[in-house]
Amino acid sequence: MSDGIYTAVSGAIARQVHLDTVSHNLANVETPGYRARSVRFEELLVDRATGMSQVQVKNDDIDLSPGISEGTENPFDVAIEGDGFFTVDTGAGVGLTRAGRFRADDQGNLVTLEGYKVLNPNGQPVMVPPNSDFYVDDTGNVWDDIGIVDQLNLVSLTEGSTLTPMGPSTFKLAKGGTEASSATVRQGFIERANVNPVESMTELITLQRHFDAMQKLIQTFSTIDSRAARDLGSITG
Amino acid sequence: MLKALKTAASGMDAQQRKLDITANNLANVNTTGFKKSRAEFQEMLYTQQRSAGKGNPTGVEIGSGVANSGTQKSFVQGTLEATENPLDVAIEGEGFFRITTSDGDPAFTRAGAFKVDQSGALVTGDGQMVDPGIMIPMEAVSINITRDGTVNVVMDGDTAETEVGRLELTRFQNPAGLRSMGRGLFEPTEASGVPTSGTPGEDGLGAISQGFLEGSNVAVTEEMISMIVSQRAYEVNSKVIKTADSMLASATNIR
Repeated sequence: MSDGIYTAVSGAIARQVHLDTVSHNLANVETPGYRARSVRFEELLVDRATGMSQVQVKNDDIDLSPGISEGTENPFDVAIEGDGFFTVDTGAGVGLTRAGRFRADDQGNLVTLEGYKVLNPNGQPVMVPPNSDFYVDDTGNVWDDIGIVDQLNLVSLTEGSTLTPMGPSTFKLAKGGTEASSATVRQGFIERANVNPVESMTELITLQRHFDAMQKLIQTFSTIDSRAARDLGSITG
Repeated sequence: MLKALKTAASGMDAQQRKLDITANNLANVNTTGFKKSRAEFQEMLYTQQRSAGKGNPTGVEIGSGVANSGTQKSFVQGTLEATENPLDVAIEGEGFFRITTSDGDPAFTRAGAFKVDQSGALVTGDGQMVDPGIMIPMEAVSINITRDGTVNVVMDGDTAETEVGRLELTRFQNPAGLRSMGRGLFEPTEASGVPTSGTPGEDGLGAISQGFLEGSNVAVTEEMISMIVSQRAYEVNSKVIKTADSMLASATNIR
């Protein structure tokens, strides 16, 4: 039986994972702070002698390019312009996020939608000033009616760092480190997902056609094998 | 393939919910004191296909789509509309009026279209008493409510004003955590924090404007654009379902 059929199957499976990723991107096309994912394929050598190889999905990348900031007039919406992340306490460690949809919890901590506390540069939760309006200036300082009371911690990734997802729109460092960021903060704006629907739709077409091509290959291998078994093995012929 | 189908379905579902919220906002574009809601989306959890490790800095993790994690009320100030009705009051700034519901529990509202009931008490349009109670005497010819909430009346035959009470405002640490009871009323929850009451104009509370009503804070243009975006996002997710379906069909038709 030809081994080539497994190569074709590996191609089909890889495209299936690709479809799942594109589907997740498109489902989250409206989620604030969402970072688009993409998969990378790699050749996996299975037989050194013949050079036969298969495709595998190597890893998925997180696209960190900025999304568009949209004005919302909500003082608790904060967007980062430029390279940077807020740090949050997820309960299972410190996470990085750009989704600046904040609110005050019942104890007065500034928290994200998921309830993660937003941290200041000392790693402590930022408190919302109780009796005045919440105001954040463009370096991330939090003001009350009198003066600066706290600061939102902004970090950016050092060269060669990679991230891995930790929670909804929240990431942790897989490799590398962070340093203080000089990005600007805009209050009353929210950063949208950086999914490009046109690109994703085109990817859908490509992956579907490639998948179909893999099915055709599998069919061809199956036909060859059945011909070989039937004709070559035939006693009378 | 099945995962992609469910992911895309979650996307369509979320957009549908968003449209329901937009429809409610638009239906209430002229409701006094109405506060618009917006849908909050959140990514759904990831399944690890391959963990990060040696030679593999990030691993392969595929997400499961989007979830509607809740709705958030926006307490942005609505426009003040002049009505010249002495019992109409609007709050300029933060804070809520406190009223007592028929169950005796406190509820909070921004809608200040007050009336006087048969006993002279100041009540809401639904007949619920304003707290602290204010009685308007029958012989009162005119009512004057100042910026700090003091309610003064001029009695028939008098020239001077007599104070009959004061409107109080209440603020919350997290107004977005209030639960909507409908009919413009909100009740406090654990998430909203403890209510703190005070005099209008002090401690961050807004001022009272007599003769005005606060309109709804719905911006029609914003909602229309939101509708267009929801529709396109819905379509795009339905395309994913078509693709996944066609791939499944192709796979089942190998033999």
